[in-house]
Order: sequence, then C-alpha cells, then structure tokens
Amino acid sequence: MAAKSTLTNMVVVLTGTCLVCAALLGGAYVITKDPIAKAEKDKTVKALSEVLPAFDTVSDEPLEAGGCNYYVASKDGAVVGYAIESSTGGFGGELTVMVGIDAATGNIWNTAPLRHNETPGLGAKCEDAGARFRTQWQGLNPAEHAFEVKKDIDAITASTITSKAYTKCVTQALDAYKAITSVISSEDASVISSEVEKSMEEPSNE
Amino acid sequence: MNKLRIILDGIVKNNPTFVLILGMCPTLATTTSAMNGLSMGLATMFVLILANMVISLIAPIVPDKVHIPVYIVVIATFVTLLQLLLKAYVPSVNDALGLFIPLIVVNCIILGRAEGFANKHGVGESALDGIGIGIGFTLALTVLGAVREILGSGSIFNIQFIGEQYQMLAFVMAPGAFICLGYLMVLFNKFIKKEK
Repeated sequence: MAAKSTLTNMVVVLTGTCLVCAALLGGAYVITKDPIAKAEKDKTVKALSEVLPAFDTVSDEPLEAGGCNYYVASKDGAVVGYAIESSTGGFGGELTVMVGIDAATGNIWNTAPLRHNETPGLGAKCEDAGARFRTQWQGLNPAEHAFEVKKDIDAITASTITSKAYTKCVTQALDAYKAITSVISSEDASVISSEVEKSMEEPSNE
Repeated sequence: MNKLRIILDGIVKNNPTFVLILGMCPTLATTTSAMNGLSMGLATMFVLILANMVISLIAPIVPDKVHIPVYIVVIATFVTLLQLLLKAYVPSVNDALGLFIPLIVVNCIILGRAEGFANKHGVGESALDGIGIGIGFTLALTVLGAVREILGSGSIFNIQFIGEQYQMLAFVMAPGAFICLGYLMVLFNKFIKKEK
C-alpha cells in the first residue's frame, strides 16, 4: 500500500500534488472566466428588463449614488427609468433587490431579487414574479406610501424577515433615487443631456 | 470482485445516507426539493468518481504521514473545478446549492471512500465504487427531497399538485428534514433486512 514516509518523499509528493492541482485550477479559471462574467451579466440584464419600462439603451457599467449602484435606461434618447440595486441582510444572508423607477412619474415600475439566500419554500418565494408580494409594488408612488410590512406592504406568509428585508431594500433604493434626482435637478440642462448621451454611448462598445 | 456487485453495494449495502450515515450536513440542508437533492447528489457523484480514480492512482506513491493532506488537495481541486463549471454553465444550480458546493470538500463520504476503498483498489474498481456510492447518495437525496417537497410545498420537481392550504411548511424546514430522514432510514433498513 502506501510508501514509507521520509522527509524527502513527503515534501516531494505534497509539493508535486499542489503544483499539478494549482496548474489545473489556473487553467480552469482562465477557461471559465468569460462564461462566468457573461452569466452574471445576463442575470443583471434580465433583471433590468423585468423592472424597467420598455427601453432601448441602458448604461453598461453601474453608476453610484446614495450607497447604491444604479443603471439609467433610455428610449429614443430620453431617460425612461432608473434601476437601483440595493442590499441588506435577509434571513439566510445578503438579499439584493433591483428596484426599477419610472422616470416620468417617479413611481416604482417593478422590483426583482437579484441575489438571495432565503429559505426555499418560504422566503425564496420572493422570486415568484406573479405572486402578490411582487405585484403589490408595481405603480406605487414613494411619496404616498409608507413602505412598511403590515401597513402598505403585505408580507409573504411565514417569511416576515425576508419580507421586511425586501421592503428595506426598496426603501434604500428610493432614498438613493432621491439622491440621484436631486443631483440632476441641481445641475443645468446641458449637463444632463451630455450625461444621458454618455450613458447611451457606452453600450455601443459591445 | 464482481463489477456489478461494487456498484450495487454502493447503492444498497453501503448506501452512504441510509446505512453508512455519512454526509448528513448536505443531506439535511439541500433536500428542500427533489430537484435540489438531485443536483446535490450529482455534484457529489462527479467529485466522488474523479477523486476516487485519482487517489487510487497516486496511493502507492503517497507517503503514509501526508496521505490526508494530499487527498484533501485532490478533492478540493475537483470541487473548485466543479464550482467554476457550474457558475459558468448552469448558474441556476450554483445559486440553488450555494455554500454546499464548496462544502463537498469536507463531505465525509468522499474522504471516507478514498480511505476505505480507493487507496486499496485499482482505478477501474475505484471508479465503479464512485459510481455506486454516487448513485446511492443521489437516490437517497432525491427521494428525501421528493418526500419533503410533496409534504411541504405540495409539488414534485416544481410541478404543483396540492393546494396551498394543505401544505405542511415544517417539512421544508429543518425539523421536517430530520423526521423524513428518520422514517426513510427505518423503511430502508427494514427492506434490507428482508433481503438478507
């Protein structure tokens, strides 16, 4: 069976094994790097199309405001909506929600969970796009509602913590939206149009 | 040793979940639905077969005192490889299993088979043992996942057939996992005793 242990053969075998394994993993990392990046991007793009009104261009890289990343979507050169990523601690780990805001009205267009570790069968129901918990957000105006579970928001049955975390994400995103809009209104119109153009040019790189 | 016998032993006589009672952590945690159980089983089988084969090959040259570190490095390599592949090509499975993929490294089934079988047998037999134990683990996890999904979520493989008001949520959570596993273990062992 196993060889007798001497210092030399222990060092040689252990080093050899580690070298071969490291080389193998390095190769695998290089091969899978692009598909992994693409899979991550696909997820974001899918979430963007879910939470925003119809758009033709969207900022390629996320912008940052109020501690949240956000994307600006425009159609025919006019900004139609903002998609804001916001995270907080859920029941089983970090919960990240993307909140889409209709630029014309300032209402929530739709929301979608990007990443979560909620309990399957309970909190993970926040993934179910057709369920009441998800549809209730659509068209709500942040100014008219207090976003709090049991007040304006119905929780997912037996998943109060997930529902509260989700609500907190939306509230954070709305705060970030206020920060975004206040920056824009304080700048003059020419700056805005150049910013919009810039955000439209970026995706054309692809 | 008869080849078919090795595979059958892995599924029945040495079933990792119901008889050897190894790898309980992923068994209890990932079997919230039949699909999750099946994915976890297949992921473990992938690592098990490859690790068994490589370890059976290198066992004669590995010095006794460092054999555990060497085996762990080999197993960890395959697990990381698996995780990269899942992330790249089936991100939904990676999301569903989450932390339990990296935890396959310390799954005692794999180290147990390396120590208990692969380092005493040839490549072919070790591969067959990996397939057998892998199938046994996958079947056990799928059955456990299916039972919990039927009772807890009223569905099987995500196909809903029982209304929301008749679902027993407890079975999706930890207590249900223990109850289901206990009863399945009893049934499995009773069935095996009859065989003997």
